[in-house]
Amino acid sequence: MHRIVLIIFFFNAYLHSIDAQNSDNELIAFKKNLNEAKNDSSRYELAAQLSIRYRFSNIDSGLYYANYAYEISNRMKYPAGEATALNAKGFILLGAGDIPQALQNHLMALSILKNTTNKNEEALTLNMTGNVFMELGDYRKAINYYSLSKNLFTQVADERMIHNEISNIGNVYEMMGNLDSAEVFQQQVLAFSKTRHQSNRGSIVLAEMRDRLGNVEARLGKYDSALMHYRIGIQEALVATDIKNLSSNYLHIADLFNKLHQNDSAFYYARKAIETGKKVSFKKLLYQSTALLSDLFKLNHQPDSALVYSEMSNAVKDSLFGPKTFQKLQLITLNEEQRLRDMQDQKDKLQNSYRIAALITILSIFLLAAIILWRNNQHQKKANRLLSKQKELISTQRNDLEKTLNELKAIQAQLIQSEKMASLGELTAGIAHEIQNPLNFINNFSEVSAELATEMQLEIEKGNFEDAKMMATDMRKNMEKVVHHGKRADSIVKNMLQHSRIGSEQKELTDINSLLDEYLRLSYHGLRAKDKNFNANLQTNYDASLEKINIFPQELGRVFINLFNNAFYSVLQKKKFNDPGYEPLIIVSSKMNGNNIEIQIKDNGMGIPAKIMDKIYQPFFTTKPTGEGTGLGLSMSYDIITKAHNGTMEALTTEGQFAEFKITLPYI
Amino acid sequence: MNILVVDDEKDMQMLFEQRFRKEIKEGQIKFAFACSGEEAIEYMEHHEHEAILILSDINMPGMSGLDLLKFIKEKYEKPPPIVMMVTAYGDEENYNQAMKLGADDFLTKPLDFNLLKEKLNNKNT
Repeated sequence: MHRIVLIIFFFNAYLHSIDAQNSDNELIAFKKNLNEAKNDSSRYELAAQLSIRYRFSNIDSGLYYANYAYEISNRMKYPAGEATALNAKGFILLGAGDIPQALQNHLMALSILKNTTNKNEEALTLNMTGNVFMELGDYRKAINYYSLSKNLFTQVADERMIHNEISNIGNVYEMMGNLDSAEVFQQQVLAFSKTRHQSNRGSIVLAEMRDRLGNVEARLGKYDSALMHYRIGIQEALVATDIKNLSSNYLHIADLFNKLHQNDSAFYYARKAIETGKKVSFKKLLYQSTALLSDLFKLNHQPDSALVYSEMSNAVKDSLFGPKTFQKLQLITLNEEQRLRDMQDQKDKLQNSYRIAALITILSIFLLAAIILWRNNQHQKKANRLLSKQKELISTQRNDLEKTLNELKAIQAQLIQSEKMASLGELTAGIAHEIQNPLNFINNFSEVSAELATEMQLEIEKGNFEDAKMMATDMRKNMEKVVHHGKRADSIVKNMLQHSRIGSEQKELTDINSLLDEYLRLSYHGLRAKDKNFNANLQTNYDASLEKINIFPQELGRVFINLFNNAFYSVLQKKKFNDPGYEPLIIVSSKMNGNNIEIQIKDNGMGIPAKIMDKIYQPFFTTKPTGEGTGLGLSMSYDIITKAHNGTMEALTTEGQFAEFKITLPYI
Repeated sequence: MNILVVDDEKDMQMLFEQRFRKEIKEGQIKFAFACSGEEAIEYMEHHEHEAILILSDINMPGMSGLDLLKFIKEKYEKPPPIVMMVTAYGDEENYNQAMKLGADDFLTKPLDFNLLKEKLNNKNT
């Protein structure tokens, strides 16, 4: 809190240069406090205040306390304090005419403040640096620093200081001869000051502003207005005990009177200016005042006096703008420029490194993105390659599958054929037996007929024609039997051939009972031929009233053969494992059921295990040992019944007890 | 001599009549025919007291020749009729079973009528 107050105090002190007379009592009190101060922070504040108190009255003391304040703040590592102390030094040195040192101190303060966030102090320092350049007549730099200062004050919204900077800038414009702008600026500040005018302290430096306005108006030729501003400025300065601006107003009004050839007034104010200027030791003012007075004496034809003031003026001028001063200044300016360049370089470097870092980052991101994209691309390519490979593979597989399917179809056809042949094989023995009987008859009847013929001859020779006639009748009957059994054999062979024949046959009106019986016998005898020990009871319950039905006889015959063969196989298996009391039984029935013929083929064999019930119609499913069954019998039968005849086929069974196949054939 | 021929082949009757033409003519043999076991049993019930020789096929639908043999040998104890079995399958089991059931002879198809005649003559004497 103290520090803030102190800073504000400095503020005002700089601005007003007034600062009420430093009473000796006050100074003594400060020094006493400083000696008794227990900590650096108190010591710093007291030292800083002392440097302010002494700044006009005793430059050496002012500088001493400013240095002391700087050392303490430096020890405390308190940058804002350092800057304040350096600025105090700069301010005192500028007043004392040591422009280079003043500049160096302010620049140091600036470089310290760059690293802090103390905008007020920084803005103030910029302002004071601007003042230095103003003193040097380097208006370009001055206006630059004032502008920077104004910007910073704008950031902290300090209206008063903003207008102070506007006034300063206006002053520069005036110096640069840009009078219209200067006037506008100063008028603006004047307007602002009128709204804020309560007391001098904490307000615009009115005397300075009037001085500046006076200068502008004077140069614009508005002499009355200029004189008025100077006069008000003198009044304001006197009220505020602002010795510096009092001196300045005196000087400028003297100048104007000189211009207006009112020598008396000019002399009067010039002397006043020197008088006051000496008090504050503002060398520039002093130089200008003495120079003016020298000129006045010259004009007044008082060469001696003119010479005295001219020498005085030149002495001050030398100390202000002498060659040494310029060398120092140049050095400082060069150093400062170097420092600024370095700063700029560093900034540039930093910026460059930022840029490079940013660039590298961006490049890295791009590279990363590129890599990701490339990888994605590669992945996609890979995926595409894989896909096309797979496509190829699939199409190859499809072709293979098509080929395999065709092969399978061929094999299926072959298998169906071999199934036919297999069942035919099973039938061969049965067929042989079936053919055997008619052949026996043919042989027997032929033999008997031959005998009869011989006997008939004998009877005819005996003249016994009656007997011969009877024998002839018998012979004819025999021949009829031969023909009959010949045909019977013929038909069996034909059926056999038809059974194995490939291709479609025509539907025929067929007696289902005969068909069943024919194939039952074929199947049974076939089995008997294979296994002579086999015997089974065959029970047939044919419905004699059945009408012929339009079916494919051979196809249906194949179904019957299959079912009979299965039934016989099943009872045979059971007989092999069962008790001797088991009697195989096959029951074949036919009957009308609505518009259908219903055929039942039932055996008391092994039955079908429940777990394979859903598989019995699958192609190639067989329970027989390898090589004994094709596994096509039931699947083919099922197709023949359901597809070729629109019928149904179902199996009823109890494992170990019986199996029954029920077929329905619609009359359509 | 009365001979009952049992066979599901109906033409067997005519064949027998032809083959035994002389014997029939001379009254030596009298033939009766049945085409199933059931028919044979019915015939025998009507001709119970006639001395008879039965010549039966084994493989017939319904009652088989062996069933008939068993039935006859069980029912007609004294005098048991002579039963000769005929089969197309000269298998052992059929033979053994027939013998076990008391068959008097066992013939295989095709029938050798000369052999049959010889056997019948032997039976006669």
